[in-house]
Amino acid sequence: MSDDKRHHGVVDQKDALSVYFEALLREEVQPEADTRPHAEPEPETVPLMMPPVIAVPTIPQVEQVIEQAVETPVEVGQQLEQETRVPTPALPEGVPDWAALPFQALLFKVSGLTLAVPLAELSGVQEWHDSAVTPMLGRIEWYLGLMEYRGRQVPVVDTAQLVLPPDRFASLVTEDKERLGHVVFIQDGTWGLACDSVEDVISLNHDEVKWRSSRSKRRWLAGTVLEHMCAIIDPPAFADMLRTGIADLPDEPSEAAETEH
Amino acid sequence: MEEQENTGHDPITEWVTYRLGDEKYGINVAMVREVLKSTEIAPVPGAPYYVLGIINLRGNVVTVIDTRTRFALPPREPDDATRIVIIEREGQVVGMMVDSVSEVANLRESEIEFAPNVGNDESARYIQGVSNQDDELLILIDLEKLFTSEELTGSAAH
Repeated sequence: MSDDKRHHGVVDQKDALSVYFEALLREEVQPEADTRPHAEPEPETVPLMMPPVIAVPTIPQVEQVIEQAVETPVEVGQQLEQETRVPTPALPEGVPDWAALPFQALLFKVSGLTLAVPLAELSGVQEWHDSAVTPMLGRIEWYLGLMEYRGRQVPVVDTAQLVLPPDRFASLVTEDKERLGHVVFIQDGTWGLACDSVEDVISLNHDEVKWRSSRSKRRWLAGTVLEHMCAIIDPPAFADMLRTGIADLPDEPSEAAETEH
Repeated sequence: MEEQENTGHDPITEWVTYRLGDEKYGINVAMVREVLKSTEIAPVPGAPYYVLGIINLRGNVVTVIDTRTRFALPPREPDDATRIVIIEREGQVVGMMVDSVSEVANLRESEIEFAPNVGNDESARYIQGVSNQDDELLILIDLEKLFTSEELTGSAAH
């Protein structure tokens, strides 16, 4: 995090985004470092995957969890390798239901940050047209207004304002809505996430994703994928956050500011 | 609602529509007493930020609120189209300054769409619903909720 602070306010747009995303990834990668073969298995540093191993004594489940959590076979051997074929495995903590099987996700860009929404939770995508969005009353800056989608009026939000910390948002993103290119609809088309652009659809196995087991902050962030340098959003959690407000959203700076008052 | 016309199971309600900026809003006609051209407004020291002041309406003092400010919209200088919509509820009379008043719209209940809550901003609660009219979204304001807000009752008490 010290790196993060060192860069803040000095780096240009691209670098600052990298710093932010690295911070997101670092948060998830740290537990993985402890699961490497060379590392000592310290109980307090492996909360992400280890508890099921300890809690479930039966061989098939133990084996599966190991297989998902760490790539080293340990000493379970061939017997356990055969057991990996067991259907309907119990998902490790933090893995959403839609990720139980290999799944696809749509990548979209938000002010340089790449996000992914699972297709299972994606309702559709529409182009952004400023004139198609009617602003509503209120003082929520990230609420852009209502947009007609599939015959009903759907609230559309500025995703960048929600996922980027305010200090970074201020330096990276202009108020200008010209940066918006598309709207990604989630939750049966009840919410629209305005973004810069939509990119490819990727296929993922859940073990390619660093899932978050604890989401006290950034509930919307289900996990990260290093290979694609993207953050996977959890649409139900995102929708819930939009409905109830953003009190739990990222930001150390704003939280600090609140405590100062 | 007195102004409701029953047409089967799809009653019609009447809404006075007005503009604030590019958007069109509607308020229940039953609560509108009259519409005035913009007139001289006497400022009230210490009043809430959204209170423009008071006017003399045939001997009665009426508080006028700046609807733009109240709803977090940027301010705008009054012009010939500016109107003060006098609304009344349970004897409480308040003037709402708006950019212009358009018409009275008849809406079937089936034409009104529920406006979802977004976040915890109080202002959003004043939106009763929306209706698509001639490819334009009409935003329906729930004056009952606006009236019962502490801010407004406090400002309109005298």
